[in-house]
Amino acid sequence: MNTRDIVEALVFSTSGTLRIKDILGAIPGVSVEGLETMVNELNSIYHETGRSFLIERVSDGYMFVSRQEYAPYIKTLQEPAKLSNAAMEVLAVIAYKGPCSKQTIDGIRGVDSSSSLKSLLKHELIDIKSGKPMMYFTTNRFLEVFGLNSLADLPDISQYEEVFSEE
Amino acid sequence: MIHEQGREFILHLSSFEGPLDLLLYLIEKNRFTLENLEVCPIIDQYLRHIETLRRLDVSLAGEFLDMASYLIWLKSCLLLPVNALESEEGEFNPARELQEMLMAYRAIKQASRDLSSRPLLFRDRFPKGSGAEQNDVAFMGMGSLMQAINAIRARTQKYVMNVAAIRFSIQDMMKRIQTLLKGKQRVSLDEVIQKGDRMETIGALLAGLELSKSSFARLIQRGLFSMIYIVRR
Repeated sequence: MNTRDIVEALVFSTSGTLRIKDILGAIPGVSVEGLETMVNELNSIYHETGRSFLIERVSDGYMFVSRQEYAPYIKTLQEPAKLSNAAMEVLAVIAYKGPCSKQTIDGIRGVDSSSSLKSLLKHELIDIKSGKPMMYFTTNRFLEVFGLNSLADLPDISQYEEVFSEE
Repeated sequence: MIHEQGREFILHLSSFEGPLDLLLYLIEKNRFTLENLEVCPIIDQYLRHIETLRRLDVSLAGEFLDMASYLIWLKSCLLLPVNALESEEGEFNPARELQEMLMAYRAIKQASRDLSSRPLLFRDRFPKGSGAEQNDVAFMGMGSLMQAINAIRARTQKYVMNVAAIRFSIQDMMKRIQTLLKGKQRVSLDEVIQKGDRMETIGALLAGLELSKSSFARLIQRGLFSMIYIVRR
C-alpha cells in the first residue's frame, strides 16, 4: 500500500467532493502539490487502462466523475435537471458580478429575475448573503457543476467585449 | 406591422428573454453593430413591434412597455439640438447609455452560453453515487433557509376558509403525478402540489393513494411528519 493508493481509497469512499484539507488531515506529511501529482498519476493509470472514470479537481477538493462519453447511458438512470436560458443568464451575472443584488441582475438583463433566482437557489447554485439589499453569490456547488476550481477560472468577461468590438 | 420583402411578420415575444434581447435581435437583423449603432431606426422598429402587438391585444410583459417608454424618451433627447443637452447635463449621451446597456447584456448572454457549453456535472459528468440515487436534501446556507421559510409560509398562510371550496379532481391529480413520474423514479408530495393550499394537498395525497391501489406507484414516508414520496413501481 502506498500513499497514492490511500488517496484513491479516500476519494473513492466519498460520494461527491472530498476536500483537500480533509485528505491532508488523513495522510500526514503530504503536501498539496504532492497530492496533485498523485492524482495525476492515478488519472494516467485510469486512462491507460481504459477506465470509465477519473478523479477531477473541483472547487476545494477532488471527486470521482464519469468520463463524458458515458453520459448518454448514465442519463437513462436519472434525467438531469435542466436550467432555462433565463436562469443561465442570471447565473452568469451572479458569477461575474456577484455578490450582487437582485436590482443589479434585473438591471443588466432588463427583466425581472425572481423565478430564475428561485430555481437557482433550489439547485443550490447560488446563495444569499443576508442584509439590505440581499446579495446573491455563487456556491461551491456552482464550481463543482461547472468544473471550476474557483471563480478566477471563469473567462475574463472583458474578453467578450473585445470579441464584439471586432465584429 | 413590419414589412420584410413585402410581407408582414409578427415577432413572438416569448422567444426573447426580455426587451434587451429583442433590441439585440433587431440590431443583428439590420446588420448594425453595437459599436456604430444607429439608434433611431432600431428605436422605430422596436416601437412598431410593440405597437403591432398591442393592437393585436397581446398581453405584453411590463418590461417591454417600460423599454418602449424609455426609448421614446431617448429618441426625444436625440432630436433635441446638441447644445441644449450639453448645457444641461455636461457630457450626457443617452444613446451611449443604451449602447452600454446592450453591450453589458450581450456580454452576459455570451458568458451564459459559454457556461452552458462547459461539461456540466449531472449532464456530461456524473459524480460517484449519483446514478440511480436521489440526492439527499442538504441544508446549505441562507438560501435553503429562506426557501424553507417560504414553503412554510405558503402552506400556512391561509387561515380563512373559502366558502366556495375549490374541488380538485383526483383524476387530474393522478395524471399530474403520472406525468411527473415519466421523467423520474419518484416525486415528493411537495413537487406535485402547485398552489400549496389544503384542498390541493389532500387531493394530491388521495391521488397518490389511488395510484398505489392500482399498483402504479407506492407511497413512502421515512418518519412521522417527514416528506411523503410517490415512487413508481
